Amino acid sequence: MRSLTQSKSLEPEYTPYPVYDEMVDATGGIRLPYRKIAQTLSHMSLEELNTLNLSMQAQWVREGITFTLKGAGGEEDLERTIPFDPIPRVISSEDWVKLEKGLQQRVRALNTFIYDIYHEQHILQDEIIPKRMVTDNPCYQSIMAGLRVPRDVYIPLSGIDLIRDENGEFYVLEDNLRCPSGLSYVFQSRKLMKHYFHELFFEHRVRDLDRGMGALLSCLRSLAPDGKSSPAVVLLTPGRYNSAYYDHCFLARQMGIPLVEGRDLAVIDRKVYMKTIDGLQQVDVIYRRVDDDYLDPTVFLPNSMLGVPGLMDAYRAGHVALTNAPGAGVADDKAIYSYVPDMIRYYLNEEPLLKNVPTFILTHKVHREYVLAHLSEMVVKERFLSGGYGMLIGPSATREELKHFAEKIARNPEQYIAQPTIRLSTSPTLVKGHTLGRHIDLRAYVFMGEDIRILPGGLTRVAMQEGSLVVNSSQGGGIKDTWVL
Amino acid sequence: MIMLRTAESLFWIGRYMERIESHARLIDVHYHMRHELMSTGQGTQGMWERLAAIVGEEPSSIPIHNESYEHSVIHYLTFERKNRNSVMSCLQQARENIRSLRDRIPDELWDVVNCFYLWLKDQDLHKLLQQTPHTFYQRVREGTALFQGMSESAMLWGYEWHFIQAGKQVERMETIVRLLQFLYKDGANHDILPHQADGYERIAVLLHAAGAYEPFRRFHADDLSFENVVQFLLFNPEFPRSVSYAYSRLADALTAIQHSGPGGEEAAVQALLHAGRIYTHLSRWSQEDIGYSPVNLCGDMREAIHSLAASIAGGFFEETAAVI
Repeated sequence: MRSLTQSKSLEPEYTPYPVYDEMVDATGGIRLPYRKIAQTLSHMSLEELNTLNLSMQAQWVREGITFTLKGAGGEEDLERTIPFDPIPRVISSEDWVKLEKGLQQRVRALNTFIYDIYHEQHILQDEIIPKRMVTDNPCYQSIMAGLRVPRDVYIPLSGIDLIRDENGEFYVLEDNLRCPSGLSYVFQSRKLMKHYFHELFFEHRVRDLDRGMGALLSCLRSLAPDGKSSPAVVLLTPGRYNSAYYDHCFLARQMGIPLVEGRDLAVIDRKVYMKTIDGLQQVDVIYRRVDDDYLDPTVFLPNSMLGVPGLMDAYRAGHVALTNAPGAGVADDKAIYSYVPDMIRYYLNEEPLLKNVPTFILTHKVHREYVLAHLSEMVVKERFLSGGYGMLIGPSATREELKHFAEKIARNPEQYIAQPTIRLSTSPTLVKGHTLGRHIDLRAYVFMGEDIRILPGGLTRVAMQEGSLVVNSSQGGGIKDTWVL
Repeated sequence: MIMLRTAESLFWIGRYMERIESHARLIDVHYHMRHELMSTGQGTQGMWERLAAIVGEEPSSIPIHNESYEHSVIHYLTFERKNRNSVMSCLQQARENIRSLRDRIPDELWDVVNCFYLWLKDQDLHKLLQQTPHTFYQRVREGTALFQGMSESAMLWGYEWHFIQAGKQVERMETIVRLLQFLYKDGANHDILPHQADGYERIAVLLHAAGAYEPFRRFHADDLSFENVVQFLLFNPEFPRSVSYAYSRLADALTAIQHSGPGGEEAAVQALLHAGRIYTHLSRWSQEDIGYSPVNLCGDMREAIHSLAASIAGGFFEETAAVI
C-alpha cells in the first residue's frame, strides 16, 4: 500500500497496488511537474475541491457537451455527459520533446505505408508484412488503388493513443487514423480549467492550444484539388445522433466551415455541391466524419442514408478531396499496428523512437498457444473494433468470460490480437469526493499537411473505476485537461 | 449562404418558441380566469375542453391523468411527450433544431434554450401545482422571452435571424386567428352573439389569452366591446401580436431574405404574394361589420396562413437545380 500523507485532501490509500503514478514517485515524493498542483491540492479542503468539481460538471451540461444514446423503441433518448476531472495531467517538456519526435516519425511512416499499399505495395513484395493481412483486411478499399491523393497525404488528422507502463516508459497503444474524435474535449477542458481553476492554471506556463484549429484548417485547405487558392471546405457529419456530434459541431465552428450532412450534398457531373438557399455551391474539400462504409451508397453499403451517392466517383475524378482518405483504416487495424516499428525501419531507415506494446498475432500458432495458456494475464482485442468494445481484460475477467473468449479465439483467430496487460500509469483523480489514483492514457493529435504538427498535450482519458484499465468514454471513462509545460 | 435544411430548422425554431409562449399564456389564463369562464353555468370540465379545442386537440382524446380532467389537460398540454404540441415537445424539438445548427447559432442562444429545457425536464404536474401554476407558466414565458431577447442581441441579422422571425410571425398570426375562430364558433354554439354584453367575460379572457389586456386598455379605456377587441387584435399597428403587425414583420423578414442572395429571391417573392392574400382578408374584415362576421372568414384567414407556410416550405426548403 502506498500512502500520501502530505496533504489534507489526498487520501492515505491512494492506490492499492504498485503502479507508476504521474504525480507521486516510489518514495512518496512529488514529481517536479506536479509540485505546485500538490501544493494547491493540499491547501484546498475536500469540500472546496468538490464544489469546484460540481460547478465544472454543471457547466459541461449547460454547454451541451453530451452524447446521445438513442432510446430503444419509443423510449426517450439518453443524453450523457462525459465526466470531467478537475485535476490536470501534466507532461514535462523533456517528455514532450521525445513524444513529439516519436509521433512525427510514426505518422510519417504510417502515411507512407498507406500510400505504398495503394500503389506498388513494396512492403508486401519485400515480405515485411504478410500480404494477406492487407488484402484480406475489410478496411482495404480497392477503389483507392492507384488513385492520386492531394499531396499524398492520407491522414491529415490522426489520434495516436499513448500509455505509460509500470516503469514510466511511454508506449503507443493504438493508432486511430480514420475518424479520431475527442478534439473538442481537449479545447473545452482547457476552457473549463481557465475559467474555474484559473489560479492553478496561471501558476504554470502551459503550452497554448489555440493555434491548433488554425493548423488543422490549413492542413485541410492545402489538400484542395489543383491547389485551389480559396477552397470551400466542409465537415461532413452523420448528424446529431452520432455520439461524436458535439465534436463535429465544435470543429466546424472553430474552423468557420459549414457542418453538412449527406443530404445537404449532391454530386452532379462528378462534382460535389452543397444545397444552399442560393442554389448549389461547389465543395472542394470534405473533412468527413462518416465511416468509409457509409460514405457512398453507390459504392459501399447501399442502404446508407448518411452518405452522398456518387461521392467516390467525384473523388476519383479528382474534383473533391476527402479526408481522412477512404481506406486509411487498413493502417489502424490492431494487427497491422504490430508492424509499425517495421514500417519505420523500412520506409524511413530509422529506429522507432516510440515503442509498441508487444502484440501477439493470433493467427500464428506459437503466439496463439502462448496466449491461450496465459489468457488471464492478457488483454485481447478485436482487430477491427474501437471504443473499448469486445475486449477481454484477463486479470479482471471471470472464469466464464475467459472460457468464452478462448472459444472465440479458437474459432476465429484472425479476428483478434492479444497484448500482455500493462498496468497503465495513474493520475490523481477526484472520485466521489476523494483524491485517488486512477489509470489514464493520452490521445495525441497529429496534423499532417505540408508538415507534421502535434497539438501540445491532447486528451487524457481516465478510467473512473478503481483498478479499471478501460478509459473509453463509451464505457464510462472521464477526461482531464492535459498540460505540457 | 445557408443550407435548405438549415432554413427549415430555423423557421421551425421560430414557430416552436412562439407556440410555447402562447400555450403557456393560454393555460395560465384559463386556470386563473375560471370564474369568468364558468359564468355561463358551465362546469370546469367544459372550460378545459374548450382550452384543448383552442389549441387544436380533440378533448375526448386526452388521456386521463390523476383522475382529474383539469389535471389531465394541464399535463397533456404541458408535459406529455407523446403530444407533439405540448410545451415539452415543442421545447425539445426547438432545442434539437438548435443543436443541429450549433455551428451557426451563437453559444449564448444554445445556453438559454438548453437551460430552459433542463429546467422543464425536471418539472412535472406535481411540482407545477406546488409552485402554483402562475409561477410555473410565468417561468415558461420568461424562458421564451430570454430566447427572443438573446436571439435579437446575439445573432447576426442574416438569413438565420430572418428565418426565425418568419416562423415566429407566421405562428403569431395563426394563434390570433385560431383564437378568434374559436371564439366565434363558441359564440355560435352557446347562442351568445359576441357583441352582446353577456360576452364580456369571454372577451376579457380572449384579451388576456392574447396578452393584450393592458395594451388594449391603453387604446380603449372603457369600451370593452367585441368589435373593438377584434379590431385591436387584427389591426392595431403597435400591438406586437396583432395579425397586421405580424404580417408587416413577416413581410420585412421575407424581403430581407429576398435581398440576401440570388436563390432566395423567387421563393421570397412567392411567399410575399401569399402573405399579401392575408392582407386582403384583413381588409375585408375592416369593411364588414365585425360583430356579424361569419366564422368562415376566420377559416379563410387560416387557410391563407397555411398556404403561406406551404409556400415558404416549398420555396425555400426544397431543392432547386440552380448552380451558382
